[in-house]
Amino acid sequence: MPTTPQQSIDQIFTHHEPAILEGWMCEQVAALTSRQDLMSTAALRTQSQAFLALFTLACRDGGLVDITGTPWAPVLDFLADLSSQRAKLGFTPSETATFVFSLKQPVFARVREELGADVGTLVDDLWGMNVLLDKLGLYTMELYLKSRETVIKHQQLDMLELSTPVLNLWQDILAVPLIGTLDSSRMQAVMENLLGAIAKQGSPIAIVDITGVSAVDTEVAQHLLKTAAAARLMGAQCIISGISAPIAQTMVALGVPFGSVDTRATLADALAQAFAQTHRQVVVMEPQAY
Amino acid sequence: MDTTTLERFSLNGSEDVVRVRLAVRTWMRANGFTLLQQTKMVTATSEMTRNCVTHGGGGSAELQQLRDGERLGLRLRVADQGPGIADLPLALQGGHSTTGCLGLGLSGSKQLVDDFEITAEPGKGTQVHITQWR
Amino acid sequence: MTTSIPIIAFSELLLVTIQGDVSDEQLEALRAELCERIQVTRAKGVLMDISGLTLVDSYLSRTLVALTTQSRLLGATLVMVGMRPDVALTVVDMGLRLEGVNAVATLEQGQALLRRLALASGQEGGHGHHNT
Ligand SMILES: Nc1ncnc2c1ncn2[C@@H]1O[C@H](COP(=O)(O)OP(=O)(O)OP(=O)(O)O)[C@@H](O)[C@H]1O
Ligand SMILES: [Mg+2]
Repeated sequence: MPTTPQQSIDQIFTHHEPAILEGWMCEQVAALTSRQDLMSTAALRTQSQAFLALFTLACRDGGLVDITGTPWAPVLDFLADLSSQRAKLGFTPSETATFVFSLKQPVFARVREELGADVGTLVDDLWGMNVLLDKLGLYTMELYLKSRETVIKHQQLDMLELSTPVLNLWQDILAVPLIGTLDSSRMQAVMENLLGAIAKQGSPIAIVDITGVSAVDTEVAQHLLKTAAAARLMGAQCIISGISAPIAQTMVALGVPFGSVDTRATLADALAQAFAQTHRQVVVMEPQAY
Repeated sequence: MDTTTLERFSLNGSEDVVRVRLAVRTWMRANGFTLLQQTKMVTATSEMTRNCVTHGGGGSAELQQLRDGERLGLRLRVADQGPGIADLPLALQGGHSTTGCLGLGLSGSKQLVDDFEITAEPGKGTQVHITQWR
Repeated sequence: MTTSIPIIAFSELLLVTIQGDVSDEQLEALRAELCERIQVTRAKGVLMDISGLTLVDSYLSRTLVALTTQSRLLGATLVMVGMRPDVALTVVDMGLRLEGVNAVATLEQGQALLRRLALASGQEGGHGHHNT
């Protein structure tokens, strides 16, 4: 029977799937990159077995050259899931790609045994298989990196949330203490959080404290002004406190029209103003004799 | 980029303005745009369709879904056969109205959407495209 | 097909509730109706609840300013209540200004403001006006 590489590979997988799986498991577990702390051997085996089944079908129906065709779609989907799962679990890119690359060894061993003396076919087979597994490996790597980026983006969003809390300083008085470097996307988050809190709680006063802010550029200043203007339309007064001398100078130099906004030197001044406006008074008590 | 027409409207009176606004709101809400993105687009829609009715003598509007890879967008095209705009740069600058209004419809809407295109040659009517991306 | 915007009279005030998306005709009708109701009830305050209103474009902002001025001419103070954050940001982005329109966050704050203004104008012999 004349063997084309495709037929022989197909048959090797169909007839020797258990042996290939065993060989592959050995490779994966023995690899320096095996991460049994992140994934149990049993889970790895299930995953490997599922992959082999899909891979065998795709080799038979789709050929070994073009992995973009429909028969290969289930294999690619499987790898996409695997990549994002491993990205979330904390595998590195090379640990992830090892999944595919380590399949080479057991497959080559099988091919060699099967084809014995037929060297010509063997070379073709080996070459085809090598290229194919490299393609899949690279595909896996690419998707891994994409998933990783998504994870990082989520973390950044979480950070944004964490770094801009809206505090209930007192009944009717909200405050946002800003610290560090302000950029446009962070200011957008601050603005939306604060206005959302005003609407939800019906707070008539909101203090934005920028004592901990190192520098303010025009864009950030515009956001502050916009926040104040929107708050006013919602029925809340916005007080900006903690403008340092250098920031005040920059504001004037940039020509930012801060005249329309309430500003106070310190958070304490802003709070005093807020108390006055909500008809509250802070009284210092005489020390009591015991 | 894939463009799909979602709905067409004829614009003759202020109830048509409301219909287009509602269609924009409904589609954007169903497709995961943020509330702020929705409100900005709906407001710009209101300005452009009302201009069409009051200054352009009525016309038509079309809603299109845009898909560019992962990105999803909504585009509104408004067109009329009215007089066009003699001094377009001035009209876009804001604060200029031929009807004694605020004249902030065009300039303001430009700030609300991701893309804003207008052609308004005198005698050839006015065409406006506004787009918001998710 | 136009349903009118409801105006409710309670404890010497008028409460107007605008909800969802309203047409120019509905707003035009409101202007006329509110004038009449202020004259009939002699209300000194109007609470305009817009917490359910989903957009304020140039036409609506013009209407809110007009309603404020009109009410003042008839001896009533109009207070706008509860503009939504997304609407407020859109108004600011457009560069619209609601000049002279009083704004508060809640109905209680609106009532309190009207009470304060009434007291103040009482002391000044009824000539006091307030705008922000
Ligand atoms: N579709 C149109 N056809 C003809 N002229 C137009 C059209 N749209 C706008 N214009 C012209 O451009 C001017 C500015 O438009 P814009 O929407 O900014 O202000 P407006 O409609 O006059 O007032 P506002 O929108 O603030 O109520 C209009 O006064 C009008 O002269
Ligand atoms: Mg206009």
